[in-house]
Amino acid sequence: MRPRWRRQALPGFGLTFGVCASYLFLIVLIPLAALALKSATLGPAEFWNAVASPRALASYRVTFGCAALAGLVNLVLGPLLAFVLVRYRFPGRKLVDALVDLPFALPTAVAGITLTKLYAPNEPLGAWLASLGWKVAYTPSGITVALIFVSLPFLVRSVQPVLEQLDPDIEEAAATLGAGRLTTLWRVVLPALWPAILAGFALAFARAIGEYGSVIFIAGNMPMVSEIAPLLITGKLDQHDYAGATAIAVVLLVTSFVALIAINLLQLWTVRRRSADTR
Amino acid sequence: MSAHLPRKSSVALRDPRWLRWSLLAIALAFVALFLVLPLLAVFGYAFEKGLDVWRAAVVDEEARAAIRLTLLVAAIAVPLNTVFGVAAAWLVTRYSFRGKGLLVSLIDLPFAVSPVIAGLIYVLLFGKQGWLGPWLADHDVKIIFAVPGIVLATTFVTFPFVARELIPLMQAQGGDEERAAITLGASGWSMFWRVTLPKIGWGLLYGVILCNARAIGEFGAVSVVSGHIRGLTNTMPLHIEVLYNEYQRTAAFAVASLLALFALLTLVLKQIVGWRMRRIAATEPDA
Amino acid sequence: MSIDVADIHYAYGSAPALRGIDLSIESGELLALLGPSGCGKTTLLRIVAGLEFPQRGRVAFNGRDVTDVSARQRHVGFVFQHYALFNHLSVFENVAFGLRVRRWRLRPKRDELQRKVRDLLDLVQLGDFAHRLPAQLSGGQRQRVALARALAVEPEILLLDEPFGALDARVRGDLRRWLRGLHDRIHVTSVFVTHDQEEAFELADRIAVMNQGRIEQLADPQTLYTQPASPFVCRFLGEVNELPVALHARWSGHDEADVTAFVRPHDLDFVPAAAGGARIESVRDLGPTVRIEARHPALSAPLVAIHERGRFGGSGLAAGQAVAIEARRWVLFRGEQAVTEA
Repeated sequence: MRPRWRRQALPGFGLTFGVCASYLFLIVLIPLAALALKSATLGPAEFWNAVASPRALASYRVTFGCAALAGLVNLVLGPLLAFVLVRYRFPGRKLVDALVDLPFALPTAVAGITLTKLYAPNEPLGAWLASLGWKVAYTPSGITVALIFVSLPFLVRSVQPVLEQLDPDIEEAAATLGAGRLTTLWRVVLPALWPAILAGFALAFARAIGEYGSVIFIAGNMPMVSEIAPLLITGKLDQHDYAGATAIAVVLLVTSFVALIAINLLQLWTVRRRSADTR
Repeated sequence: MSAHLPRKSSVALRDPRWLRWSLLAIALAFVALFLVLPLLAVFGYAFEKGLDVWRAAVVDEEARAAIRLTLLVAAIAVPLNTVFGVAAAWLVTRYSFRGKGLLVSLIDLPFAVSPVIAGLIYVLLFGKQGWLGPWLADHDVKIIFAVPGIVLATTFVTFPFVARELIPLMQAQGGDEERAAITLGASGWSMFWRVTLPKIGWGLLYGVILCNARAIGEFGAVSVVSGHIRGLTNTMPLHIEVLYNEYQRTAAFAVASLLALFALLTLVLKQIVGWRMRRIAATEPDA
Repeated sequence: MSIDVADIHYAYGSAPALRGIDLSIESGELLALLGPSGCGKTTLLRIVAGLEFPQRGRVAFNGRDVTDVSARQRHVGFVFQHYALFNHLSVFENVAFGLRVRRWRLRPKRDELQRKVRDLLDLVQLGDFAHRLPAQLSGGQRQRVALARALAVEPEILLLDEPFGALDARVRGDLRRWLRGLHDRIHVTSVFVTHDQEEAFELADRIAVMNQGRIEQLADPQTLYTQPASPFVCRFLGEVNELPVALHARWSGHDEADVTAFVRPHDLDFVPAAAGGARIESVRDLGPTVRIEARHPALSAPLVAIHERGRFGGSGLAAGQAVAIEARRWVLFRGEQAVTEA
């Protein structure tokens, strides 16, 4: 009997499998294994010291806190923007729709320096906000602003297709049952969007905790106050503290994996529940 | 400005006027503050001191070296990831085999890795104190703080883009056209060039545009492995950082405006290609 | 070219799709694989084409074993259910595809290729549509492009997967008469898959009825209809009344408790009788025929007779009438086994 892979009707299994496996190993798996190996060479005490130093703990607070806050702002405004783009017709709609991808397309360093200058205390917008007692640049507020910018597309783009495919019948059904428009949106439309909103939130959060380029300019990078975890990694690298850098990298990686695994489980669960409903 | 409804919706789906206007106002204010304002600001700051200052910053020797390096890196990383993306999408959508689920998750993995960590892993592998560092030093091969490291880090960060775009597309298209080509006597390559490539063409271009945009703009990963050697290992984003930190702010914004222009071009291309793809999907005889 | 399929087993993962298929198809024959969805007929067709490879069993063309030969080398024409036309190529280029991808030495010259494709397009009556794209054609036209494309490489075997499945009823009828005519002219060994018994009967020389991964019966249409090998075949070929002979079918000459008489509606008669046991429930005029349903207290399903209008006219049957059941033709089964009469 011939080996199984020979028995494929379409050609190319061996070639594509070879290309994928070797490329994946060379570019992704071996380098990530280097990280795992490095962290394994650290003793538990050394690892703990690096991971749980007061400065590291402060940086997690800043990173995760600002990422969560930015995610929450987008959690409200992203689906709202998606709703407006899908349901309403207004001049410039296509332009706005295209602009939503700007944070994906604009290099993060460009976004970083621009937001910094916009919100700096010596520029009109920054000065006005400062006069209201809200200092944005060089504080955690600034970090949050930058993270709102970079993670904005995730929530809009994950909700938009679901909203487009939402069967208008269910809303009409709600209307015939006597529900007011707001009740319908709240009780019928929003529940249908929740899985997409949460998936978008997890993607946005995972992206935001790793974000570097757009944040470092506006953050001010004050240790204990406005220093993000990725900056701590590069700082330790500059001091040739590879072990310390690796330990913090592991914390960041695990957090974003957990966020992404949570989306996958959530989506699996939703798909199961939905298919059980239609059975 | 008026807000009216998409054609297919009925009276029952019409939101009350006050609701329509407030949602629209909030959404547009959000877009204006977070997207339009920064975009306009880049150009505003870049031309703040006039066209001559802008031109001087852009034609500066170091700026030109940075532009060349950025283009070179993209010219290597993007084709590599394109070949990988096509191979991975073909593998995942045309065959069933053990470990396929794992492969799909691994393709997505780089999206979950912070760019800084993407740089770090290569430093740990190829850096002076890295696993292969001593061997590389003995053989006089420089990867970290040199162009190969920048290429590797960029490749890692842009790894999933093409595959991510093609997998759902090829899944939806199915493989019957390819099977038809094979029963008609086409060889594997002939099938690929004559049937598969024309079928996935626009989707592939879409993925390449996104991959390229990220490759050109990548900052964190490249910053870790580059070593910031002026004129040698500074890409455009790194060059912007250097200028900015040296208080040559207008020059920094001048170079940034080139990248912003490129981002706008990306958005336009993306829009055109996306529109073409939807049109083709709509005219496809059997959906 | 003849096709021999022996002991084919195929499973999708752990779900068996084919469980021991033996089938011989003669050169020049037009054979139908008929069965309900999920019976394995399409899988069998794809195995013959080399688009799937069986876990066990052999496929031979003209006695030559091709089990391990790739689809590319088998040289069969395959028409896909949804046609699988190359949407980016014109009708002409679709048909020319098989010729253009030939090795350089075997590739026809420009003029010859032009002539061949033109001839094929004329054959499928699409001569005027050469420069259209598939998206600009109707379903029936696309179907014919798919056929011309498959024929362009001059295959000695033509395989068609639900060739009329995606078409509306009127086009379907026209196209299948046309296809029968085409087969009578070119005599290529052809196998097609269908779930529509009318289609199989109209087109095929022989029909293989499949059920749950096995062939239940292989025969010409007439034999299939008059001597079905199993209750499944009998039921699948059309509406049928099932009467336990002991109770209601003494006319069959049998009275064993476990034998059932299968009677087609047009072979069943209801005769007015004072105490026949059955009672007419409804009489429906269907135009050329009349459908009469009767209910018998011992049977769960109603009995159905379909009479031509002329014959019905004199019978005087009406709803509510008590009737006796008579049959003119029937087949007997004991369990799954046919009962052959002496």
